[in-house]
Amino acid sequence: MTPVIRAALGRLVLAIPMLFVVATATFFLQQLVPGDPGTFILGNEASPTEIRQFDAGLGLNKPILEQYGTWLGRAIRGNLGMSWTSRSPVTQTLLAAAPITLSLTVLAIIVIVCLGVPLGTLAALHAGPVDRFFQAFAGFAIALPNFWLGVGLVLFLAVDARLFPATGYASLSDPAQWLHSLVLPVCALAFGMTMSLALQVRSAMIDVLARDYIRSLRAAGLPRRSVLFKHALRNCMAPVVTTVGFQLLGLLAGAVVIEQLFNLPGLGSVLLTGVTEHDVPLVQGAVLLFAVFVVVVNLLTDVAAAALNPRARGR
Amino acid sequence: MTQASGPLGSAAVAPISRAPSARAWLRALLGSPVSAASLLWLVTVVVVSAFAPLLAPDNPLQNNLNALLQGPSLHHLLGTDELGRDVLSRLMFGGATLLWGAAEATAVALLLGVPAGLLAGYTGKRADRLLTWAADLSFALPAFVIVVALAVIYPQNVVILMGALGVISAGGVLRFTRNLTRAVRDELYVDAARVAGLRRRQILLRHILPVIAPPLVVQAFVGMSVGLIVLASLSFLGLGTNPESPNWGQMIYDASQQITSDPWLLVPAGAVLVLTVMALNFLGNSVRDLAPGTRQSGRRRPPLRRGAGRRDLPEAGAAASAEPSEGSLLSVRELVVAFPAPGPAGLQAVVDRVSFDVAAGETFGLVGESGCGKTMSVLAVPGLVPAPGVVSGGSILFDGIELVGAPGRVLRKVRGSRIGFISQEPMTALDPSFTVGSQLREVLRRHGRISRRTARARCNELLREVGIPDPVATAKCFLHQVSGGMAQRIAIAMALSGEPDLLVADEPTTALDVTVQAEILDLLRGLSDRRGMALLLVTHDLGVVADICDRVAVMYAGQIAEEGSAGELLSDPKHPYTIGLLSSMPGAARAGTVLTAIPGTVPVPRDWPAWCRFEPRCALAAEACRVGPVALSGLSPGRQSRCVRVAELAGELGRT
Repeated sequence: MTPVIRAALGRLVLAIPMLFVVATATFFLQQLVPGDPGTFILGNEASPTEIRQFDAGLGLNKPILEQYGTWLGRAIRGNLGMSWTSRSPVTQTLLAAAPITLSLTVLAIIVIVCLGVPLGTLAALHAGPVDRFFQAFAGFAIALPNFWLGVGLVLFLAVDARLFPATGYASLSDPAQWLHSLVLPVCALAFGMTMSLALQVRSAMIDVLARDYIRSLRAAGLPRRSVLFKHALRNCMAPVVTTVGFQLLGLLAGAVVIEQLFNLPGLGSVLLTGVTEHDVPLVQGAVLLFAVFVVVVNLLTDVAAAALNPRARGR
Repeated sequence: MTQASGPLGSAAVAPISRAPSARAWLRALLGSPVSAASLLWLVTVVVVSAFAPLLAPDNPLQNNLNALLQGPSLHHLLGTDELGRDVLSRLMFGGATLLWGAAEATAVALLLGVPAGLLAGYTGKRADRLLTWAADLSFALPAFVIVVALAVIYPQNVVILMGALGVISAGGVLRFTRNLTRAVRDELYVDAARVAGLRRRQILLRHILPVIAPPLVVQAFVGMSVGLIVLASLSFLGLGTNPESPNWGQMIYDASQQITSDPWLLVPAGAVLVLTVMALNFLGNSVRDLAPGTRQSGRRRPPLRRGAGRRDLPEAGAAASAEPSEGSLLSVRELVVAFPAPGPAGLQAVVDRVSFDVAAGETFGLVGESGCGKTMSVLAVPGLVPAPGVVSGGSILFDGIELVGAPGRVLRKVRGSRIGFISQEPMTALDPSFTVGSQLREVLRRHGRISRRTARARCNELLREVGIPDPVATAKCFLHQVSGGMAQRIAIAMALSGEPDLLVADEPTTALDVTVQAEILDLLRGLSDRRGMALLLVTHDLGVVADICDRVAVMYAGQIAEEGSAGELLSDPKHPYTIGLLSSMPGAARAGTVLTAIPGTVPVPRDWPAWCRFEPRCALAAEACRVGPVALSGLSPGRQSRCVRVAELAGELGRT
């Protein structure tokens, strides 16, 4: 068994109880919601009989453990129940929303890596004023809340310059429109994290460049290009991958805010709709799906980190 | 924070962890103008938020329909919002909820995470496994999403939402504290406390907690800044808000609804939030350097910059006076290597006008204790003095090519193909991420335009030449799969791959086992004989000199103290320092006599005396030694000593 597979299995073993805990917690969340759903959804004008019937239709009159068993059994098979407000299957709503959140986070992480790594390398190589300016700017960028930046971008690039749509999402079936609709949200989401990754790359690079083997390779006559971009960069990758993993998790959280701001009907919007409308099954489903994403990201991060570790690759 | 150590054993002494003093804390928090400004800003924000009812010019909830969306004016310093409310007053009132919420989340995370982390890290075993598992679980939770979801049960309840954030974050604090505690637990002073019979609680509170406090404070700052952003985001989403007490996040949301009519409204709340988060992050970073064992990585500059060449050092006035001698392959003249230092000159020399020659095929040894400038002297030859060090004077002539101040293009042509280099620590001298073979082949292909297949064959040949029994298998290995001795052989192979005329070896055997040392020396001697390659060898071991060197220079405090042929110098030393080194060798001692060592340690460059630099440690020092700088005096061709009493002490020197 190679260490890479061992890392993957280790994470999976942890993931299953974790998902179970989250699922259980989200189910019992429902019990904590003040008032009964019938009253809340049907309103005060509904008669007690109507409310009882409504609750019975949701299976809410059964013993709690029985409800839990039924719910868990269905959830494992991918059936997350019906939305209380729209009466449509939660799974279907989530599957429609997921591509939007994924588009947002995947594009953002691409931007973050493609800009953060070169910027950090540049800063590491230019001590003095360039580096000091870089650090100050990064400090500012990291502190800038993504929603503030998002509002600012809308103001300048959508309202004033009319370069991009202020809100809304175009589906992937028209790639140009799709990209166009995501430029501002991705920028708002990626800006701070790009600089935070760049800072990480900068310190990893400074650390690696001071190592003995860099001196040995230079002493052996290797060109600067190879020493920098092959050897130094390769040895920076382990901390960078860990950071990128954390950032993907941060992007999922950021997407909740950014989707709301740009009116993108993604998972974050589903979650917020559920919260504001007290639609518990919708909230449960969204939380579970986010938890699955976190598990997948952690798994990928661990596998990538293991694959990058030379100790895992030898015989 | 390292303890003072013996002259030759500095590497063996581990740094002693100590809790930073109150003064260190103060320096971290107020040391730079930026950190002082950050602290001032935070104090201001806290004080203003606490006393907002007294300080605010207006009622933050007072609508004024006659003054809607006004820009800044004397009456409303930051203008008014869409209901005519005073923005400055709203800002002053808007900090408290955010700060309380962030502080609550941070406090919950620390109060849960730190004790559990201490317990897990200190006791280990089952508690450790259980707690680490719980912490790992919390890592797998989408924290922000859960806090948002909780708003379905506890709408607008900041206390519960931020408390939940704190609970989820406690896992991270737990793991962090645990790892810190583990690192400190096995330190000698903790062992000592344990042996002295202190109770576990005392050890944890008095000996471990203070040491790991700085990183925990960093965590607290980070926690505050994350908490602020999370709560501001929740408020922006309309989840953590209270119309009765507007906070900055909510104000940004309100402003976003007015961007077409009054974009200015975005600025005050945004600026205050950004500045507060920046101040927290910056202070966290300033405290980070207090932690034991952290290197100030930001300060270390990479060695790979263009133009790190020659710079003039005012104090090294003497021009390269002596002509390079005929027939030598390498001719170093008046070499000065310096590092930035406080003071008018701005530079402090660590190698001070050093001259020596290496003839083709010759083995030349450079000897002295650690800290004498040997390594810097030889690193200057292939232009590898680590930044911020510079070669600030002198000349290095290699086969007619001036290397001091030469452009990178010239240096890269010489490196590897004319001058090879091997360093002291073989286990760090090879790139751990590539196989041995891939590195060797890359260097081989750099030096000759050869095909992949030829490179593979040459690689195996080279590995066999340096005495590796199974070259094909070894080439497929990563660094961590070979022993130190093997690694040094591979490093030698790499240095040989360009068939250099001169091999510079910086203490090539110091890091190796004694049995392996002899093998590596044999290998170097054999290679140099077979290939007619000159060897410039740095060592602190006179046994090595006796073994393989033709000529030797002894260095002390940045200068050459004595030079001569190996045989003469070892049998008839002409400098008290050489004598001291010789009598420090275990082999030189007679049974029953006390091993003579040189008292004291090599002074650091800024403490070098203005007269004979060895005088403070010299058993034979006299008045004449303290008059002024001592010059090297020639005794016979190729034989020099930097001792004023060399003539009169001839007899005494011999007797010692």
